[in-house]
This record gives sequence, structure tokens and C-alpha cells, in this order.
Amino acid sequence: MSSNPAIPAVHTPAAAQSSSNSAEPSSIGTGSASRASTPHVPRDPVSFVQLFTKSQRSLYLFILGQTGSVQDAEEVLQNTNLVVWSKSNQFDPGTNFFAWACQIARYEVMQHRQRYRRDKLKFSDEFLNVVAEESVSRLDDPEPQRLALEQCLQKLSARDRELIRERYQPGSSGKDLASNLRRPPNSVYQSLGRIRRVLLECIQRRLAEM
Amino acid sequence: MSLEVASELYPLLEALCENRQTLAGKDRLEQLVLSQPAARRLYVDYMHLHGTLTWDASLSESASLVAYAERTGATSVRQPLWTVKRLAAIAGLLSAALLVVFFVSQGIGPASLPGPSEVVVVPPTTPETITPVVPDVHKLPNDAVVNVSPIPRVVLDRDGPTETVVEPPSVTPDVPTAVAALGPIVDAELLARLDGMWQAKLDEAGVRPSPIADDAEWLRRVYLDLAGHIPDASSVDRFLTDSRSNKRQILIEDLIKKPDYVRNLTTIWTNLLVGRSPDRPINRELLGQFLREQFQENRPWTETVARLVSAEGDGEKVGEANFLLAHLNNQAVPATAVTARIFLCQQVQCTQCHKHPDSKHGGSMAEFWELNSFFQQADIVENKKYNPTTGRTDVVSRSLIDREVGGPTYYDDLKGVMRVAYPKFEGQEVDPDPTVKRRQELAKLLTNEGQHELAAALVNRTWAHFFGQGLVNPIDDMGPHSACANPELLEALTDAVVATNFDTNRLNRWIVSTRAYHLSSAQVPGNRADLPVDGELPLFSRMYLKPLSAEQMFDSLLVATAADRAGVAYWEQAEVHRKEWLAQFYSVMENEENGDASTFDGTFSQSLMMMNGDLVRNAISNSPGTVLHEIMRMGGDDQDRIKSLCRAALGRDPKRNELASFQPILRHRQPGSSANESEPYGDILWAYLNSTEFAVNH
Repeated sequence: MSSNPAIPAVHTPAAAQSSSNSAEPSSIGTGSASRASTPHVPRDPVSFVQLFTKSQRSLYLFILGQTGSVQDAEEVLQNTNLVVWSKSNQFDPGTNFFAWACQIARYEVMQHRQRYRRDKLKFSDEFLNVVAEESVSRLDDPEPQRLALEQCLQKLSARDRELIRERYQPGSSGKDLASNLRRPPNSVYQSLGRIRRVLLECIQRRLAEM
Repeated sequence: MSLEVASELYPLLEALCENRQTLAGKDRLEQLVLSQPAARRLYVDYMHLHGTLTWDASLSESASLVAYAERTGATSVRQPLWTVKRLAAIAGLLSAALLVVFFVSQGIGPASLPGPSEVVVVPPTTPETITPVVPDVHKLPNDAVVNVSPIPRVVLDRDGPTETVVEPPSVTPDVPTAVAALGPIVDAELLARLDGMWQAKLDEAGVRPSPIADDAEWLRRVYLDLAGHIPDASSVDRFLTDSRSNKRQILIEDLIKKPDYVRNLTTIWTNLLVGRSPDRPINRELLGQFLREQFQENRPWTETVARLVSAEGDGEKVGEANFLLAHLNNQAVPATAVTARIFLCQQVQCTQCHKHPDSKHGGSMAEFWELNSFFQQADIVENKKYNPTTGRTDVVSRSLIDREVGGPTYYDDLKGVMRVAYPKFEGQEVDPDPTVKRRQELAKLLTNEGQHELAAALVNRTWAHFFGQGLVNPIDDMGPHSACANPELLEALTDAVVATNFDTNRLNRWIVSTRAYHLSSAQVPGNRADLPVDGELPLFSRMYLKPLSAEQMFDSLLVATAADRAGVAYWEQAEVHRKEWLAQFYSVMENEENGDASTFDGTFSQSLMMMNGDLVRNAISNSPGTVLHEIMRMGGDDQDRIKSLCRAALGRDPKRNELASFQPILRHRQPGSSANESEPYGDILWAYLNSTEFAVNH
């Protein structure tokens, strides 16, 4: 990853420290070198916020692939955002923001796993590596998938769509859903699994047609 | 991928997503993903699907993907409310934090920036030599009784296929009753009452007002507020030598007749309605043209609002349609918020997610979505045209249309329960039938049942335009929860606006004729307590300072320097330059309020642009046609030239200490060389243009 020249390096805190120490007090007309060393200040604040905002969904999906759990993914995303923010001055506006943020997210996933290392259900390092690599290439332009999903949702039967809607209501889970519907949990899980499979296959077909 | 692998993988993935994964299942999943590329792809795609459904549902209440798919047709170009809510909040917080850090870390304000010469321009103090002629501000030429003329019908859809004729949404039928209740409005009588109410608040607080501003200070102020730019040097000369006692009132009338007054109002309202950024896919110029015509003919404000809210048609043909074309994204959430904020000065977008303490509109989530429901039929269609040269079909324009849909708007409450909202405003329900045009109904409600609030909002916004502080602050957060600096005065002006059928020119004339508007901006010992910046209610005991807007700044620079004539012969080109100049400060934010991000805020980037931009460089270049060149050509001694420069840039005569500080610069010039002769004057002009006094309306 780091051998790719398009991806900017993430500075270690030590490196950031030394560069800010060596910088001269900034004055008008000096180049970007002195401004880049100002802590917590991106070189182009407005476009940084835009890039940041735009990449949130992709970043979340990237993390979810590695945590497998939406709750963990949210937590890691929040930590990642904090780091992205504190390192914003190191981001080189000409380079790929998402790739840069993914590097930070990778590190945060590892941190998170370290914290919950007793959990036997956590994935192996090797698994995380291959998934991260597979993930990042798919997320550069998530818009086609999103549009395809939108169309595929419309194609579902009204009942299936309602089931999906209720399942994905904030705070809901398959288990809650089963008790609400007074259906055996296993049959609800089966239905959800079936609908997700239908959606996935529909999306793949649509993307192949494009 | 073999079918066996897929059929083994799917149950494992389903278990993972439902949090019921077993250790054995996890191991098997890892094994498959690591050994087979196809399984890897399926895993990633499945998790992305699961994540997208979770993300969109949790971040966008009623407009989640599923709800969206249920309710919209495929032709709609409205975007679903993707990541809007939480993300906008995150981005908003972060950008605010960022800007704070940014400015703090720069640690330098414009004041300490190095310039070509060490000149200190002293801010205005109390007048020294000129004895102010206190004008009789109550002598208005239009001292007439209110004239209720019939309002012609408003025809919408100039180019649309249907000949929709809307009943005049203005208040025609209500005017006679309002007038009867209030009596006809006599300008002088109203002004005397307004001044009395203003004085009463001062007496109550034990605060004494500043003296009346001298003519130079007041002239620059009224030009900036009414015409949108500073007075040129010859207008300054004329006004200062005019000895008529009612010259201020004459000037107000002259300014209100000028095209620049209409242009100024147009600029202000275009910015309010669709922001400044040129990036939105709308025709900003055409919207401006619509507003210009409305202001030119001084149409009732109710009519303008009604036409903006109910417009239909192609944005390239119907100017007013561009207002909503800019705000129908995100399930018309911005349209709802902007309509309430701009026309009613009320903040409803917060109640989209939580209960507002006790504001009247949008006090609850339900009320937000009830207002939103009026925009449910509105949609945008793209008009496409085949382009024979490229062989492609391009989008040539976008039309604002109403679809014949009925029923409620869906939203999720705080517990995630889906609820419905039917169109309702000011307690008036509107038939949710598909054939009822909801935006036209809203236009009627706004201008009839809501007319008192519409008028109060207009008064507060206009008052704030002239005084830098509203009667209620923040300007667009009116309601029972906001304290009003002078409720009687707000009420009196609001009633007068309703009684004069929303005559905006007259409202402007009243406000610039109040005694408060003629006060100096200089503090006196008696009004030190009047400090609205500290969060106190403003008493208007002196004129508060107002930073120039980006447009005022640009237009004033042109007036002061004629820099546009350096090398650029055509005004059209100068207009293009103004647009380009503004564009560097603004960019679009697509969120609930569709605001603009601005860097024109009296800080770092603005100062750099002023000091180093082409415009100011041209201004001091001594090119033929510029003000500097003219002054150099006219001859005269140093004193005369500096006086001319000062009048051109600041609309006043130079002060003694300024003249003294310019002496060293003039002494160092090279005699005989004409190229160098203008240089010290260029430096002096540069200093005046970069002074705080120039950048502030006082």
C-alpha cells in the first residue's frame, strides 16, 4: 500500500512533532511549507471538510467489512474521524483522500481489536488484510452500487420491502423484529437472508448491465 | 463461484449480520474468504449491502432508501436524504472548530499586515469642525395617506404548458379592514411615534444617544445601505456643499429612484434566497431579473413571496422557479427550512429532529413535516435535447413541476416509529387530495393567515439591514422564545407594513428617516452601556458598525478607484469580474439549510485579496481612466490631491494627523519622473482602501 505514490504517507506523531519544531514562525508570503506545519489545520479547510463529509459512507463500509459488526464499525469510524481530524494538516490536497483515510481506519481497526482481544469471534490479521484490500478498490466510487440498490429495492415485493425497512430501522435487529412480528426468530432470519441475497444478486446483475 | 460455496457462504453471512455467529462459523468464513477470490468478493459485497442499508436507515429518518423507493417514481431527480443529518452535524461542528483553530493559529489580523507604507488611518471620531445640520427627517415628500390601489391578478407559468391563473395571493381583500382598524398611515405621524418609542427605551435604560452624524458619515452610510456602494467623489462634493436644510430627505428620495437601489435589493434577496455560490444548477441571473422587476415596480412583498413559493416552469424561462429549484434536494428539507427562515424569520430545521423549546412554528417535529408536506408535490424534471455535434443527449434545463400526488409525508419520530404529516400551516389544514396544488395553498396561507408574521419578519430583516442589529436577534430566529429590543416599535412597523399592503420602498424610507438612523456611530460617555455585541438588547443609541458585504466591497472599490477602467473597456466585462471576484469567497454546502461556505468574513483571506488582488493593483496603477489618473491629471498641490483621494475612498476630508503622516512618503519621491510621481499617491490610496474605515459601514 505504502509503495503506491498516489497515497500520501501518514506521518507518525513523532514526525509531525519534529516538523513543527523546525518550522519558522509563519509570515505572509512564505510558501505552504510553514502553513502545513500548523497543527490541526488542513491546507485547504473548505475542501477538506467536503472530502471528509463525502467519504464518510465509504469509510464506514470499509470498516464494517473488517469488524463484521455495525456497532463496532460505528465506534471505529468515530475514532478514525478523530485521528483524520487531528492529522488534517498532513493531508496533501492533491492526493487521494479516501485512500489516506483508509490507512488511518486500518490502524484504528487494529487498535479496536487489541482492546477487545478476548473476543474469540474476531477475525484474523490475514483475513483483515485481504478484506481491506478487496474493499478499498470497490469503494472508490460507491455511487453505481447505491443507485443499483435503490432500483432493486423498488423491485422487491411490498412485504419484503417492509420487512427490510423494519429490520434496518435505527436500533432494530432481526431478533427484535421476530418478537414484534410474533414469528419464530429462525424464520425471520431466513426471510432476511433470502431478501438480502435477492438484493445482492439484483445489484450484481444491474452493475454488469451498466 | 461454485454453487456449493455460495450456498455455504450465504448462511454464514446471514448469521454474521444478525449477530449470531458461532466460532465454527467464523472459522469457516475466514477459510472460504482466504482461499477463494470469489468468496472474498461476495463477502465484501454482502457487507457493503448490509452497511448501506444500516447507514442510510439510521442517518435519514423518513427518507431512508426503502421509504424512498416506496414513494417516488423513477423519473425523479430529487436526491434521497443520504447521509445528510448526522453528517451535516459532524461537518458543521468540525468546520466551525476548524475555522476557529485556523484563525487563531494564524495569529495575525489585518491590522498587523505589512503594507507598502506605514500609514495609520484614524477611524472616525466625533465631528470636529463641521457643525451638523440636523435635518428635519420627518418631512417626507410622500406625506400622503395610504393609497390602496387594486392589484392585478398574478399570472404564473409564463412559458408553461398550462395557463394557471392564481388568485392574487396578496392581501387585497384584507387591506380595507386592516386600514380601518389602524387608520390610514401618515408618514410623519408614524415616524413621530417610532421616534417616541425609540426614545422611551433609551430613557428607561438611562442611556443618552450619540449626536447626529455629520453629513459625510451619513452620506456614505445611506449610499451603502440604499445603493449598495459608497458615493463617488463628485456626489460627496455636491452633498457637502449643499446648504438646503432638507437635503438628507431629498437624497433619500433620489437614491430610492436610482437603478442601483433596485440592484442592491436584488443582490441582497438573491443571496438570501439561493446563496452566493455560482455552482448551483440554477439560473441565478434569471431569478435576479424576476426580483429586479418586482422591486423596480415596487410590487407588494406578499406577491413576490407568493410567486416564489408557488412558481412552476423551466428555470431557464421562469426566473422565480429558480428559488425552489435550488432547494428541493434532500426531500425538500432545505426548501422547508429556507422558506421558514427567509420569509418568516423562523428556525424550523432543528425541529426536524427534536422539539424546539417553544417557538410557534415547527414547535414539534410534526409541524416541521406538516410544512414540508406542502412541498411534497414539487419535483424537478430535466429537459433534454439531442446535440447533433456530440451525438449525445444533454440536459439543457430543469423545470419545477407539481406532480399530482396526495396523502401525507412520512417521517420517523425519535423512537423510530413512522408517522405521517398532512399539509398544515398556522393551524389551517389543506385538503391532501392529489388535485389540490399545495404550494399555491401555502402561498395563500403565508400571505393571508400568515401575513402578520410575514410582515414582522420583513420589518426585522430590513431593520437589521439598516442598523446592523435586528429588533430581534438572531434575525431569523423570531418567536416567543426570543427577546425583542422594542416590541412596540416592531408592532407599529409591522402594522404599518400590513396597512400599506407590503410596500417595501415605504418601509425602507421610514427606517432611514428615523432619528436613530441619523446618529453618529461614535460612542459617547452616555451610551457606553449600549453594547449589543455583549448580548444586551440593542438600544440603537448610536449607529452600529456593519462590515461591508462582498458585493458592497467590490462595487465600492470600483466607485472609489474606477479600477475597472484600467485596461477593461466594457462594463459587461466588469460584471464578469465581479462574479469571478465573488466566486473566490463562496462555495455551496448541500445540507439541511443549503447554505454557503464563505471566507469573506473580514479575516485573513479577505485581507489578502484586498491587499494583493488585481483589482487594487489596477486601482493604484495610474492607468488612464482610473480615479488616481484623473486626480494626477487635474494638478493642484499635495493637499488638494490627498483631499480628492480621501473623498473618493472614504467620502470625507483627510484629518490633520493623516496629512502629517503622509508627509514622509511625499518627501521621498523622485522629482521630475512622471512614472514615479503617482507612486506615493498610489500608496496613499492603497492605505485608504485597506483601512478598516473603508471596510466598514458606519
